[in-house]
Amino acid sequence: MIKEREVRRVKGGGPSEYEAQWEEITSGGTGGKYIVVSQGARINEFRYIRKKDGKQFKFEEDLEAWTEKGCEWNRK
Amino acid sequence: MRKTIYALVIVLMCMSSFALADTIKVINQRNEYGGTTNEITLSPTERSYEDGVETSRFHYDSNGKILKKEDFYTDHKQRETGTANIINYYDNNGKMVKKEEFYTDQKQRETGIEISRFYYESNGKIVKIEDYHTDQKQRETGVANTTNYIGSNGKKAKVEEFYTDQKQQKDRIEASRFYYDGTGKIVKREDFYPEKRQRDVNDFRCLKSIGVKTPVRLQFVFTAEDKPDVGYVIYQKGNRPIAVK
Repeated sequence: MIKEREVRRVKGGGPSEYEAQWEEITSGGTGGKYIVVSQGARINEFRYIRKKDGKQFKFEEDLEAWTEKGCEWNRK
Repeated sequence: MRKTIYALVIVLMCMSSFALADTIKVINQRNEYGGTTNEITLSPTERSYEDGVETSRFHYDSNGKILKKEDFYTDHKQRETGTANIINYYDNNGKMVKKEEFYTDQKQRETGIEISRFYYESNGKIVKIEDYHTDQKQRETGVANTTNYIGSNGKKAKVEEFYTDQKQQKDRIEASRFYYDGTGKIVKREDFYPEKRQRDVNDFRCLKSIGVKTPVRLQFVFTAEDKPDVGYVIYQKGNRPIAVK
Protein backbone atom coordinates (compact mmCIF):
# COMPACT_ATOMS: atom_id res chain seq x y z
CA MET A 1 0.00 0.00 0.00
CA ILE A 2 1.58 3.23 -1.04
CA LYS A 3 -0.85 5.68 0.50
CA GLU A 4 -3.80 5.69 2.87
CA ARG A 5 -5.91 8.56 4.17
CA GLU A 6 -9.07 9.01 6.16
CA VAL A 7 -11.64 10.53 3.84
CA ARG A 8 -14.75 10.63 6.02
CA ARG A 9 -15.44 10.40 9.71
CA VAL A 10 -18.85 8.96 10.49
CA LYS A 11 -20.99 10.15 13.39
CA GLY A 12 -22.87 7.80 15.65
CA GLY A 13 -20.46 4.96 15.99
CA GLY A 14 -19.84 3.94 12.38
CA PRO A 15 -16.25 3.40 11.29
CA SER A 16 -14.43 6.08 9.31
CA GLU A 17 -14.01 5.80 5.57
CA TYR A 18 -10.45 5.31 4.28
CA GLU A 19 -8.96 5.52 0.83
CA ALA A 20 -5.98 3.29 0.15
CA GLN A 21 -3.81 3.23 -2.96
CA TRP A 22 -2.12 0.03 -4.03
CA GLU A 23 0.43 -0.04 -6.81
CA GLU A 24 1.06 -3.00 -9.10
CA ILE A 25 4.59 -4.34 -9.04
CA THR A 26 5.44 -5.56 -12.51
CA SER A 27 8.60 -6.77 -14.20
CA GLY A 28 8.95 -3.39 -15.84
CA GLY A 29 8.73 -1.51 -12.55
CA THR A 30 5.42 -0.19 -11.33
CA GLY A 31 2.15 -0.74 -13.12
CA GLY A 32 -1.37 0.51 -12.60
CA LYS A 33 -2.96 1.60 -9.36
CA TYR A 34 -5.85 0.23 -7.37
CA ILE A 35 -7.89 2.70 -5.32
CA VAL A 36 -9.83 1.06 -2.52
CA VAL A 37 -12.27 3.10 -0.45
CA SER A 38 -13.37 1.12 2.59
CA GLN A 39 -15.39 1.68 5.71
CA GLY A 40 -14.80 -0.99 8.29
CA ALA A 41 -15.53 -4.26 6.57
CA ARG A 42 -17.27 -2.63 3.67
CA ILE A 43 -15.68 -1.67 0.36
CA ASN A 44 -17.47 1.43 -0.88
CA GLU A 45 -15.42 1.93 -4.02
CA PHE A 46 -12.82 -0.04 -5.96
CA ARG A 47 -11.09 1.39 -9.04
CA TYR A 48 -8.19 0.36 -11.22
CA ILE A 49 -6.24 3.06 -13.06
CA ARG A 50 -4.34 1.69 -16.04
CA LYS A 51 -0.87 3.14 -16.24
CA LYS A 52 -0.47 3.45 -20.02
CA ASP A 53 -3.46 5.71 -20.62
CA GLY A 54 -4.86 6.55 -17.20
CA LYS A 55 -8.15 4.80 -18.03
CA GLN A 56 -10.20 3.92 -14.97
CA PHE A 57 -12.12 0.71 -14.42
CA LYS A 58 -14.71 0.51 -11.68
CA PHE A 59 -15.35 -2.68 -9.78
CA GLU A 60 -17.94 -3.92 -7.33
CA GLU A 61 -17.86 -6.84 -4.97
CA ASP A 62 -18.86 -10.14 -6.52
CA LEU A 63 -20.40 -11.86 -3.52
CA GLU A 64 -21.52 -14.88 -5.46
CA ALA A 65 -17.95 -15.73 -6.37
CA TRP A 66 -16.83 -15.73 -2.76
CA THR A 67 -15.94 -19.03 -1.09
CA GLU A 68 -13.87 -19.65 2.01
CA LYS A 69 -10.99 -20.87 -0.15
CA GLY A 70 -11.00 -18.03 -2.62
CA CYS A 71 -13.03 -16.65 -5.49
CA GLU A 72 -14.70 -19.25 -7.67
CA TRP A 73 -15.89 -17.76 -10.89
CA ASN A 74 -17.00 -20.85 -12.73
CA ARG A 75 -19.55 -22.30 -10.36
CA LYS A 76 -23.20 -21.62 -10.85
CA MET B 1 -88.84 27.58 -3.11
CA ARG B 2 -88.09 24.12 -4.49
CA LYS B 3 -85.98 25.68 -7.30
CA THR B 4 -83.97 27.61 -4.73
CA ILE B 5 -83.26 24.46 -2.76
CA TYR B 6 -82.14 22.61 -5.94
CA ALA B 7 -79.85 25.50 -6.85
CA LEU B 8 -78.40 25.53 -3.36
CA VAL B 9 -77.74 21.78 -3.46
CA ILE B 10 -75.96 22.10 -6.82
CA VAL B 11 -73.82 24.97 -5.53
CA LEU B 12 -72.90 22.97 -2.43
CA MET B 13 -72.01 19.92 -4.55
CA CYS B 14 -69.74 22.03 -6.75
CA MET B 15 -68.09 23.60 -3.73
CA SER B 16 -67.53 20.26 -2.10
CA SER B 17 -66.00 18.68 -5.23
CA PHE B 18 -63.75 21.72 -5.57
CA ALA B 19 -62.62 21.30 -1.99
CA LEU B 20 -61.81 17.63 -2.61
CA ALA B 21 -59.80 18.25 -5.77
CA ASP B 22 -56.03 17.70 -5.82
CA THR B 23 -53.83 20.62 -4.95
CA ILE B 24 -50.58 20.95 -6.84
CA LYS B 25 -48.02 23.51 -5.84
CA VAL B 26 -44.39 24.22 -6.57
CA ILE B 27 -42.64 24.12 -3.22
CA ASN B 28 -39.12 24.69 -4.50
CA GLN B 29 -38.16 26.53 -7.68
CA ARG B 30 -34.58 25.28 -7.58
CA ASN B 31 -33.97 22.06 -5.67
CA GLU B 32 -30.78 20.10 -5.04
CA TYR B 33 -30.96 18.73 -8.62
CA GLY B 34 -31.37 22.14 -10.25
CA GLY B 35 -35.04 21.68 -11.08
CA THR B 36 -38.35 22.22 -9.35
CA THR B 37 -40.07 20.28 -6.60
CA ASN B 38 -43.82 19.92 -6.88
CA GLU B 39 -46.15 18.77 -4.17
CA ILE B 40 -49.47 17.13 -4.81
CA THR B 41 -51.96 16.63 -2.02
CA LEU B 42 -54.59 14.14 -3.00
CA SER B 43 -58.21 14.21 -2.09
CA PRO B 44 -59.89 11.19 -0.55
CA THR B 45 -61.70 10.56 -3.84
CA GLU B 46 -58.51 10.09 -5.82
CA ARG B 47 -57.32 6.60 -6.64
CA SER B 48 -53.80 7.20 -5.28
CA TYR B 49 -55.37 8.25 -2.01
CA GLU B 50 -57.23 4.97 -1.95
CA ASP B 51 -53.86 3.31 -2.54
CA GLY B 52 -52.72 4.96 0.66
CA VAL B 53 -50.87 8.03 -0.60
CA GLU B 54 -51.96 11.36 0.81
CA THR B 55 -49.20 13.66 -0.40
CA SER B 56 -46.46 13.21 -2.99
CA ARG B 57 -43.46 15.36 -3.74
CA PHE B 58 -41.77 15.14 -7.12
CA HIS B 59 -38.18 16.39 -7.40
CA TYR B 60 -37.06 17.16 -10.96
CA ASP B 61 -33.67 18.01 -12.38
CA SER B 62 -33.06 20.98 -14.70
CA ASN B 63 -34.11 18.84 -17.70
CA GLY B 64 -37.41 17.92 -16.13
CA LYS B 65 -36.38 14.38 -15.27
CA ILE B 66 -37.71 13.05 -12.02
CA LEU B 67 -34.89 12.00 -9.70
CA LYS B 68 -36.69 11.72 -6.39
CA LYS B 69 -40.26 11.09 -5.28
CA GLU B 70 -41.60 11.21 -1.75
CA ASP B 71 -44.87 9.62 -0.74
CA PHE B 72 -46.55 10.35 2.57
CA TYR B 73 -49.03 7.69 3.52
CA THR B 74 -52.54 8.04 4.86
CA ASP B 75 -53.21 7.10 8.48
CA HIS B 76 -54.94 3.95 7.32
CA LYS B 77 -51.95 2.81 5.26
CA GLN B 78 -49.57 3.75 8.06
CA ARG B 79 -51.49 1.52 10.44
CA GLU B 80 -51.62 -1.24 7.85
CA THR B 81 -47.95 -1.22 6.80
CA GLY B 82 -46.07 0.44 9.64
CA THR B 83 -44.51 2.83 7.12
CA ALA B 84 -45.08 6.58 7.48
CA ASN B 85 -43.44 7.73 4.27
CA ILE B 86 -41.05 6.60 1.56
CA ILE B 87 -38.55 8.26 -0.74
CA ASN B 88 -37.71 6.74 -4.10
CA TYR B 89 -34.56 7.74 -5.97
CA TYR B 90 -34.21 7.32 -9.74
CA ASP B 91 -31.29 7.30 -12.15
CA ASN B 92 -31.18 9.29 -15.40
CA ASN B 93 -33.04 6.52 -17.18
CA GLY B 94 -35.93 6.68 -14.75
CA LYS B 95 -35.06 3.43 -13.00
CA MET B 96 -35.38 3.30 -9.25
CA VAL B 97 -31.99 2.83 -7.64
CA LYS B 98 -32.83 3.37 -4.00
CA LYS B 99 -35.84 3.48 -1.70
CA GLU B 100 -35.92 4.80 1.84
CA GLU B 101 -38.68 3.72 4.20
CA PHE B 102 -39.41 5.67 7.36
CA TYR B 103 -41.33 3.65 9.88
CA THR B 104 -44.11 4.67 12.26
CA ASP B 105 -43.44 4.89 16.00
CA GLN B 106 -45.44 1.73 16.54
CA LYS B 107 -43.42 -0.24 14.00
CA GLN B 108 -40.17 1.18 15.37
CA ARG B 109 -41.10 -0.12 18.81
CA GLU B 110 -41.83 -3.55 17.33
CA THR B 111 -38.76 -3.95 15.13
CA GLY B 112 -36.21 -1.54 16.56
CA ILE B 113 -35.65 -0.11 13.07
CA GLU B 114 -36.19 3.57 12.28
CA ILE B 115 -35.28 3.70 8.63
CA SER B 116 -34.45 1.15 5.95
CA ARG B 117 -32.70 1.85 2.69
CA PHE B 118 -33.17 -0.56 -0.22
CA TYR B 119 -30.72 -0.52 -3.13
CA TYR B 120 -31.73 -1.88 -6.53
CA GLU B 121 -29.92 -3.27 -9.56
CA SER B 122 -30.92 -2.14 -13.04
CA ASN B 123 -33.13 -5.25 -13.34
CA GLY B 124 -35.10 -4.14 -10.29
CA LYS B 125 -33.66 -6.70 -7.89
CA ILE B 126 -32.75 -5.62 -4.38
CA VAL B 127 -29.03 -6.02 -3.78
CA LYS B 128 -28.55 -4.31 -0.44
CA ILE B 129 -30.67 -3.27 2.55
CA GLU B 130 -29.41 -0.92 5.24
CA ASP B 131 -31.29 -0.82 8.55
CA TYR B 132 -30.78 2.03 11.00
CA HIS B 133 -31.71 1.07 14.52
CA THR B 134 -33.63 3.03 17.16
CA ASP B 135 -31.81 4.38 20.21
CA GLN B 136 -33.56 1.76 22.31
CA LYS B 137 -32.34 -1.10 20.14
CA GLN B 138 -28.86 0.42 19.97
CA ARG B 139 -28.72 0.43 23.76
CA GLU B 140 -29.95 -3.16 23.93
CA THR B 141 -27.75 -4.67 21.22
CA GLY B 142 -24.85 -2.28 20.75
CA VAL B 143 -25.54 -2.32 17.00
CA ALA B 144 -26.03 1.09 15.37
CA ASN B 145 -26.90 -0.13 11.90
CA THR B 146 -26.71 -3.21 9.71
CA THR B 147 -26.21 -3.77 6.02
CA ASN B 148 -27.65 -6.88 4.38
CA TYR B 149 -26.29 -7.91 0.99
CA ILE B 150 -28.72 -9.97 -1.05
CA GLY B 151 -27.53 -12.67 -3.44
CA SER B 152 -29.16 -13.54 -6.76
CA ASN B 153 -31.21 -16.22 -5.00
CA GLY B 154 -32.92 -13.46 -3.00
CA LYS B 155 -31.33 -14.58 0.26
CA LYS B 156 -28.82 -12.65 2.32
CA ALA B 157 -25.27 -13.47 1.38
CA LYS B 158 -23.49 -11.16 3.79
CA VAL B 159 -24.43 -9.01 6.77
CA GLU B 160 -22.37 -6.20 8.24
CA GLU B 161 -23.00 -4.88 11.73
CA PHE B 162 -21.65 -1.51 12.79
CA TYR B 163 -21.39 -1.03 16.51
CA THR B 164 -22.21 1.96 18.70
CA ASP B 165 -19.54 4.10 20.36
CA GLN B 166 -20.35 2.50 23.71
CA LYS B 167 -19.86 -1.02 22.43
CA GLN B 168 -16.69 0.00 20.62
CA GLN B 169 -15.29 1.40 23.85
CA LYS B 170 -16.36 -1.63 25.86
CA ASP B 171 -15.48 -4.46 23.49
CA ARG B 172 -12.89 -2.71 21.29
CA ILE B 173 -14.74 -3.86 18.21
CA GLU B 174 -15.86 -1.58 15.42
CA ALA B 175 -17.80 -3.78 13.04
CA SER B 176 -18.45 -7.41 12.19
CA ARG B 177 -19.15 -9.08 8.92
CA PHE B 178 -21.00 -12.38 8.57
CA TYR B 179 -21.00 -14.52 5.45
CA TYR B 180 -23.90 -16.88 4.73
CA ASP B 181 -24.19 -19.92 2.50
CA GLY B 182 -27.23 -20.72 0.37
CA THR B 183 -29.03 -22.36 3.28
CA GLY B 184 -28.73 -19.27 5.49
CA LYS B 185 -25.95 -20.70 7.65
CA ILE B 186 -23.09 -18.43 8.72
CA VAL B 187 -19.88 -19.73 7.18
CA LYS B 188 -17.47 -16.97 8.15
CA ARG B 189 -17.23 -14.08 10.56
CA GLU B 190 -14.82 -11.18 10.42
CA ASP B 191 -14.35 -8.64 13.20
CA PHE B 192 -12.83 -5.23 12.70
CA TYR B 193 -11.08 -3.28 15.40
CA PRO B 194 -10.93 0.51 15.73
CA GLU B 195 -7.31 0.95 16.66
CA LYS B 196 -5.51 -1.29 14.26
CA ARG B 197 -8.24 -1.58 11.63
CA GLN B 198 -6.42 -4.80 10.95
CA ARG B 199 -7.51 -7.21 8.36
CA ASP B 200 -7.30 -10.96 8.61
CA VAL B 201 -4.24 -12.50 7.11
CA ASN B 202 -4.97 -13.09 3.46
CA ASP B 203 -8.27 -11.20 3.65
CA PHE B 204 -9.51 -11.19 0.10
CA ARG B 205 -12.36 -9.82 -1.91
CA CYS B 206 -13.90 -11.03 -5.14
CA LEU B 207 -14.62 -8.19 -7.53
CA LYS B 208 -16.06 -7.69 -10.98
CA SER B 209 -15.83 -4.66 -13.22
CA ILE B 210 -18.97 -2.67 -13.85
CA GLY B 211 -20.13 -0.54 -16.75
CA VAL B 212 -18.56 -2.83 -19.36
CA LYS B 213 -20.07 -5.46 -21.63
CA THR B 214 -17.83 -8.29 -20.47
CA PRO B 215 -16.93 -7.90 -16.81
CA VAL B 216 -13.36 -8.48 -15.70
CA ARG B 217 -13.18 -10.52 -12.50
CA LEU B 218 -10.39 -10.49 -9.98
CA GLN B 219 -9.49 -11.54 -6.48
CA PHE B 220 -7.75 -8.88 -4.42
CA VAL B 221 -5.77 -10.24 -1.49
CA PHE B 222 -4.98 -7.44 0.89
CA THR B 223 -2.30 -8.58 3.25
CA ALA B 224 0.42 -11.08 3.81
CA GLU B 225 1.24 -12.19 7.35
CA ASP B 226 4.71 -10.74 7.56
CA LYS B 227 4.18 -7.76 5.27
CA PRO B 228 0.92 -6.03 6.15
CA ASP B 229 1.10 -3.51 3.33
CA VAL B 230 1.74 -5.98 0.55
CA GLY B 231 -0.92 -7.90 -1.30
CA TYR B 232 -1.60 -9.42 -4.68
CA VAL B 233 -4.23 -9.62 -7.39
CA ILE B 234 -5.37 -12.68 -9.26
CA TYR B 235 -7.32 -12.07 -12.45
CA GLN B 236 -9.83 -14.66 -13.58
CA LYS B 237 -7.99 -15.11 -16.86
CA GLY B 238 -4.55 -14.17 -15.60
CA ASN B 239 -1.51 -16.43 -15.71
CA ARG B 240 -0.21 -15.66 -12.25
CA PRO B 241 -0.80 -13.36 -9.28
CA ILE B 242 0.32 -9.74 -9.65
CA ALA B 243 1.95 -8.33 -6.54
CA VAL B 244 0.73 -4.99 -5.20
CA LYS B 245 2.19 -2.74 -2.59
